[in-house]
Amino acid sequence: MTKNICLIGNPNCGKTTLFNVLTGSYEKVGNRAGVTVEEKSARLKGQEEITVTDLPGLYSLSADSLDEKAVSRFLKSGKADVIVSVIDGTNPERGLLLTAELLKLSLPMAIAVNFCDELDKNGIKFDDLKLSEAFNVPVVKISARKGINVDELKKVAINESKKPTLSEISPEKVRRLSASLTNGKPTAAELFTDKADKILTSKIWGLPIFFAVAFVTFFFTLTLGGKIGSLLSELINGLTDNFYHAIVKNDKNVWFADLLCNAVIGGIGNVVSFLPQIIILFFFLTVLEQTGYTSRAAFLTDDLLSKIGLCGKSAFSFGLSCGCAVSGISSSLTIENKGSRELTVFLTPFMPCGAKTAVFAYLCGVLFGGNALIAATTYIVSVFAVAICGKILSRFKRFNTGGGLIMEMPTLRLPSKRVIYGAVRDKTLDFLLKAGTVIFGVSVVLWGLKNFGITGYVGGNTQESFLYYIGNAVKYVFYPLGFGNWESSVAILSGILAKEAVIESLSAVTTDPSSLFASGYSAYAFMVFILLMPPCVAALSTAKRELKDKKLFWIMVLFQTVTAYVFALCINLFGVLSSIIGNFAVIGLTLIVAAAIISLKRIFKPNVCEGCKNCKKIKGNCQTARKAS
Amino acid sequence: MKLSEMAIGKCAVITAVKLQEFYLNRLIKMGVSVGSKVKTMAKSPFGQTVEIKVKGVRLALGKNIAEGITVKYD
Repeated sequence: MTKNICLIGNPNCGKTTLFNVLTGSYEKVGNRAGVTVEEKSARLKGQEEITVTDLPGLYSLSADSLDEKAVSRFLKSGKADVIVSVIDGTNPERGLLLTAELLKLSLPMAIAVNFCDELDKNGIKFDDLKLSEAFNVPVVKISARKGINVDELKKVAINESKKPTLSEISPEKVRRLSASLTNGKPTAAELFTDKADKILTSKIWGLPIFFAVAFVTFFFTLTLGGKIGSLLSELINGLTDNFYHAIVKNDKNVWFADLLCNAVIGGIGNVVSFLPQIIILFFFLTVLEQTGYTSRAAFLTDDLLSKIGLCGKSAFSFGLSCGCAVSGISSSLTIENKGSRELTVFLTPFMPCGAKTAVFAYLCGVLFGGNALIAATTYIVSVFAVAICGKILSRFKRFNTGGGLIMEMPTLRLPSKRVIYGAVRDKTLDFLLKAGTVIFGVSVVLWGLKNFGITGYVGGNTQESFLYYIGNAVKYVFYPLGFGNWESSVAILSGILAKEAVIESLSAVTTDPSSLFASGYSAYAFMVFILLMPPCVAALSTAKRELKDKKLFWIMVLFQTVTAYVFALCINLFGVLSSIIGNFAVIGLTLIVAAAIISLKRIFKPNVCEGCKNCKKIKGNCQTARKAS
Repeated sequence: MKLSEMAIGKCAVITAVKLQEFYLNRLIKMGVSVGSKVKTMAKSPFGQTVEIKVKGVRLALGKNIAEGITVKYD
């Protein structure tokens, strides 16, 4: 008989680690939109007929956020046979408040007191007998990290968990009980966190440390990841060449060799070449999250980010998006504030993801003589775009639902190796899955469009292919941006399917990419367009699921397209102007125009009463002033 | 005085919470309600966000949340 054991508890209580130990498998990318609660299940190691489900961490069943609603529904649907309430032994009160709520469900229950290794190390005794008597359910002290007593918990959960006899315990009683379960001494981890936080969140050192951490992360990601990536790329290219020659014998099988080697393997090869970057980035971000640093980062950045309608929690999403936008968008699920969450989804694809960086590296190679600095400037452009668009969008009421950060900052703890390995492994596998399906599909489709036309198979005669016709129809749109040709159009269109495809398309339609662009500025405009345009279909579908509102989704697509177009246009205009009147003249003009705009704004801005900052009424007409006088 | 005005390192008791129901509920779940003892641990670089410790748990509260909570020094 299959039994489903459900793990439920506060965020940061070690449920994930416990799930890993019990099932020997790793939790799927937890907050991915569309992952239902049932999907975070796996078979119990050694007893295949029993499944374990890891429910999202929550503070209470009274549904407030999306997560809590989902868990409530799940528990009431009868899919749970046994509940294991996991609590943090070093701080039992909050966990037990949730446990008390679970009593109402009348399901067989057991309580797991986690972090008992920390308690032992600090000489703190936990009175599990007292807890067991008070709730009238079995209690097991465990350490998920060290695997202590997990077998005992398994046994108890399966055989000894029982329906609670009490239907509720008052919060007051829970508080008194919690206070009496331990001697209340703070653990070494707690004391360390207090000391460390003094520096991590200090006014002086906080932000510098944050930037240092970000710098180190990106340094390793781009240099180490980039180097390994190019090595892999060369390897695959070499193999494909040999493969090609092996298949092609006396001009026979050319089209098949072309399809297999250039399209398919080439396409997949592109993805593999930036996989090292993504793995390294995800590794760093997972470590930061597991130690608890990301909440400190959110604390430090919340001020700045709320000025553009985002919140501190968005910082992590933006970081993830530099690896893959799918991760970034999914992680924004944890932002409770609807406006900030939706805005994060809107803006996070502006970050250069792994695929985009690969495209930029390629473009820099063929257009700018390998000048890596130019590729690096895309990060600056994306930050700029996020800032400006955030400022503009947050003027709309929809995105301006007001800050309201309420975030727990967990005790700083050493990350669990298995959780890190599992999370990185899962994200990477998800990614490879995308490569195997979408990219494969895209490669074949592109190959088909390039090699077939109205007359049938056209082979190398690209001017008669479907691709050419499509590109020609669309190219007029890109005239003002400096690349109004069918080749660039095709490349951009293929970028909708997958950004990596841009490399494929370009190399498929031309042998001299630099001939496509009127000037260096046009080429840069092309890069910026690809940076800011709507992300690949994988990210788009994730965004659609997260936004839930179809209209909003299409508004997002439109918004991103317009942003990309406007930025690229400005760059190209700058280029066109500077070819006529020179660089300095254009910079001078831009400064004059900017200064004019700022001073015009000042002239037309209504006088804000000095006494009160919020009413925005004209001086002398302020309600507060009138009341005071 | 408001929670956002508390000095770092001091302890106080919450005397009133005036916020939208959504935020109110979340706060209660995390242990912040009238009568709770809080200690201000840190303030963010631009002063908008405050980190408090309540019932052994560290919470980061945004400015508008902190301004809706009234406290009294112990």
